[in-house]
Amino acid sequence: MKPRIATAARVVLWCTLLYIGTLALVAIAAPLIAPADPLVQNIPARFSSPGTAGYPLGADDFGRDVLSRIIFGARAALLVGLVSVGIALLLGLVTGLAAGLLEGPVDSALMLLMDAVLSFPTVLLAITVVSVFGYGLPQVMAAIGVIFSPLFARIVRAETLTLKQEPYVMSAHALGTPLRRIVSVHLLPNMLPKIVVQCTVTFALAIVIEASLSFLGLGAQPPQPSWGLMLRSARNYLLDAPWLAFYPGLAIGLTVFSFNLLGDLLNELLQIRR
Amino acid sequence: MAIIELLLRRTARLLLTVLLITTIVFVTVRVIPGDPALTIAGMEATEQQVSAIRARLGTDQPLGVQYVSWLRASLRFDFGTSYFSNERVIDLILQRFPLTAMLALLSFALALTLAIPIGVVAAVKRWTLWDGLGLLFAQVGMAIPGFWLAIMLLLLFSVQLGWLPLFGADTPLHWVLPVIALATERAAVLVRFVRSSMTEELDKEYVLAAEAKGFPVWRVVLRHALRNALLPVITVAGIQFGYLLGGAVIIEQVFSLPGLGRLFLSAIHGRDFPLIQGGVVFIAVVFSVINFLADVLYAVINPRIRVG
Repeated sequence: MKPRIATAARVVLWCTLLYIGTLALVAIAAPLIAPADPLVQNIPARFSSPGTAGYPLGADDFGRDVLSRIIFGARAALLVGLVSVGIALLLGLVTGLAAGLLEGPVDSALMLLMDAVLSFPTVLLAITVVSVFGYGLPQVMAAIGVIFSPLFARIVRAETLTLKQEPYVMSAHALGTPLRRIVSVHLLPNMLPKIVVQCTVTFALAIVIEASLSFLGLGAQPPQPSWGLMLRSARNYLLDAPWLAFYPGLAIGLTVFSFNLLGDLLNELLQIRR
Repeated sequence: MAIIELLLRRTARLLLTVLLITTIVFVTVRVIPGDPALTIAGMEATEQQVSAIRARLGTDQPLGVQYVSWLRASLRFDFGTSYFSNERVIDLILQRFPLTAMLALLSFALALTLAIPIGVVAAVKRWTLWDGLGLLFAQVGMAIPGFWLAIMLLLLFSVQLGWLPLFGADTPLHWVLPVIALATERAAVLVRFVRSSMTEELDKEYVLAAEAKGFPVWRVVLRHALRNALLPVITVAGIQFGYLLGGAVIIEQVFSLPGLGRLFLSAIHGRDFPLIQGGVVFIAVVFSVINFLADVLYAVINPRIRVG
């Protein structure tokens, strides 16, 4: 990378971090920031256009404040991202370490399973899981977590296989260092950069899938404020209230954009350092 | 013969994946609480009626027997009849599949048409404004959910401007927006692949040598680097096509297109398990076959593997 571009990348990096930080603050402090209760209905105000007094971004089909629903929707989006990435990371670490450390048939069997899961379109897999285990955000988070665990398992396995050959790991092993210590002191810290990058990218994917499933009516259930669910009801009023479909989608787009960009930039910066 | 060995290995993997998926579907459906016979029979059925339905469905058999008969039926694409319409599941699927396949194919064509030139230009003009624009397209395209883009396109071209019809699939014009909405996200992902694959190729010595010999840059790019750069894209394209099928399910919902996605969603909402099972296995098989074909195509085109 040319130095000028590297500087530009750093500026963009700080911008994405600023957006993500603000979003996180907004999500945490949603009750303090939101101008109205996201669930309170006001039928006479339904379909108020953006800018109407008390409804900066308009009101939906039940007369609920769109801005407040988007602010509370940030909670759902970030929660889904955190929980599903957490599940994926945990499962991926366990399977990846098992495959990388044991090798042989265990490795082959695990990787075959992981490849099969990865090769299947994620959204369809998530829909299938949810169709069997029921609708709702908890099921969606669990489904996304399981489906994305192979992404982490692959990285952890590959890193384990490489790091195992490093002289310092081999000598630690020869000195009789317990496996638990080798994993926590030598393996995990060294694979951390790649895992962090994968976490940010997976976070973005999780938000998109939650939004898609909620849009299909399989994720968040009414009246819960969720960006995908807001788009689902907005689709029914495209002629009467087109703005209803605009802002929630913008929120999804900006958030996913930031996390993707963050992942890319971290990837570049961490690679340079290596 | 390397290619025969590869074909055999890929075929084995294809069969194994399909077996794995049918097994997973069987197991998950058995996990679901509740007896389908009770659902079908309704609240006022007698114990005899319920057990008659159990016998008809085969759910009174031991699990092992059920599993074997499920596998044998799956092989023949016989997934039973839908709980609600009483038509054969495979017939329902085949009625709806052409629309979804068409949607995915058209979007695939559009995605490649967009992604290859953008990716190549970005790679050749690396770290310039053109590259920046290409990367921006990729980032924005990946971030915008396809279904939201679809809604925005509908608002602009159908509601505001009135140039294109709103819902349905009756005329070719109805297809314009769904195809654009579905293709954009895939094009964005493919741009990145083409760009990085092309960048790698351009850094190789044969390109430098060709340039040094005084060949015009574009000739080197098109005649030499592009061919090599597109090889890895083929394998990715198979997976991307699968994602298009997945995306089609959602896009159909936005435009009220009567494809596989709508069938599948109504099956889920109605808890029509034969249809859900059949749909999952069908899509999985289609998907595995496409990936298989992409792998084989890759091997056939790539002389390094073909000659081995």
